[in-house]
Amino acid sequence: MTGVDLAPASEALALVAKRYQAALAAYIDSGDTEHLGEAYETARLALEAKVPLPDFALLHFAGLREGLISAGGTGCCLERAEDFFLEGVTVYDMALRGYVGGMASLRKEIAERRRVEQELRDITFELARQRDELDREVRKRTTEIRLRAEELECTNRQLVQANQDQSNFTYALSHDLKTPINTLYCFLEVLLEDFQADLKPEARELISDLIGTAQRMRNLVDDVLDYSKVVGHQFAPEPVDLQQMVQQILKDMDSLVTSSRAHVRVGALPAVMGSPFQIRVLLTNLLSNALKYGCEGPEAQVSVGCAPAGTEGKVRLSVADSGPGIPEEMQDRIFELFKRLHRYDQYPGSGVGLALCKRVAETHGTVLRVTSQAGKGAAFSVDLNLEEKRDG
Amino acid sequence: MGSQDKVVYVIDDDRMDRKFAERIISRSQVFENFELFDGPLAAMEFLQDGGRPPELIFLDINMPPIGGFEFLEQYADQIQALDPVPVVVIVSTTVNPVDLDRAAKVPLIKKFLCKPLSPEHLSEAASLLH
Repeated sequence: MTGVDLAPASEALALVAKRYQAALAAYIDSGDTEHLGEAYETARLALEAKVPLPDFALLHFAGLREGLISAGGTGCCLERAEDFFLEGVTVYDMALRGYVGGMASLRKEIAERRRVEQELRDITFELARQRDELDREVRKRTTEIRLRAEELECTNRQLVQANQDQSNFTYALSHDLKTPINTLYCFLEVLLEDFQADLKPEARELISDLIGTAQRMRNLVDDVLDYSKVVGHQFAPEPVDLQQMVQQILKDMDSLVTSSRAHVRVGALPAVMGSPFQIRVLLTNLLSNALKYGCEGPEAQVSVGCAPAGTEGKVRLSVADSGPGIPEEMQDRIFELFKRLHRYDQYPGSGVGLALCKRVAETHGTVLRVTSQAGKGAAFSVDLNLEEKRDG
Repeated sequence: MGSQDKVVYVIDDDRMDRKFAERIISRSQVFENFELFDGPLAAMEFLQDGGRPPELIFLDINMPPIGGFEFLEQYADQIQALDPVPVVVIVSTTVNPVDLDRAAKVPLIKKFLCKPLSPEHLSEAASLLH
């Protein structure tokens, strides 16, 4: 078995042969061209029945032989038989032409398909190559990222450790410094208290000065400690009632308010979001500065107020004084740690306050601004986030 | 019974701090019976030798070799066995929040005061006694 059955069914061949030969006989006999159509039709059937061309020819010659034997045969008879046969062969001819054309287009199609297949194979190969390359690249990058992440984690651990170390160091230092400073301060006061009558005025003055120095050291340690606390302080913002806080701070620094003789005005203050501890530090420093440096007699004014910040959801909190102001060329310097504009005996201070306020502003995502003109006072301001209003 | 009769221990390794505490306490007239110790071990020795047990302890934190917290941990049983159980008030220069948190977790500690000791501190401490 070839899988393709080329042998025509014998009954079909017999039927076709019978019909063809009858039509051939009729045509030879009459010459009527109507019968030629029958030649065409039977050839088509023969082709359909897979009768090969030689068999079709044999079938024709068998018919012709029959005709010649029965009719005695004439030249005219041969001519008509030939016409009839050619009519039939036309079908085969057309079929062959079609086949050849078909084969050609098939070959072309196959070639095209092979080309496309090759192209597909090439593309697939290229894709596989690129995928492998990508895989390699991804693996490489993944390794790099992992190493980088490990590196960052390590750095982070070191930073956290450094922060912790610094914090521990600051607390230990503050404790170890405060203990002797406290002792000095307390016993100098004891000295003055218990032996005042026995001391010469110069000695009393010296002791008073030393008490002042010890107090200054205590304040310095407290300020440095505050600074370290703000630097290492992590917080989640919470509502801070500025009005309440300012009133409390002013109450706490009552003696400074009284001694400055300044008129303190507090405007309407909203609640903001931030660290209560840090904002207290900020306001305490700004207010004590305003009272300390702004004081120029009974007409001195210190005001705390809020104004729109120009950005939605923010408010500009400012503390202003009517003091001598800060010359423009000095305005950057005042925010640096331990940088002061005055000698200690002019205005006492540690040089930490504004640096600390600057840090507070920074941890609240804003900056501390100063606007001042010599002789016309100074105003410090920060933009803070308003407390989010709850719906309903 | 006033606070004058209560026995007060001051445990502090710093000589000057003890001296200052002595001055404040003796002048205040809030307490009249007090003992000064340079460390927890000296206080325990005093107790073992038949000294009067304390009703109030002013305790420093940073003291080598045994600090205030370590003392309260190591001698918890002995301290709890005293009748009445003494009130412990921390007196320290520390501002470390770690110390404040730790103090809040010790039930014996009723107050945390910042040095130097003052007459107001003594009144506050006296108000904690029954």
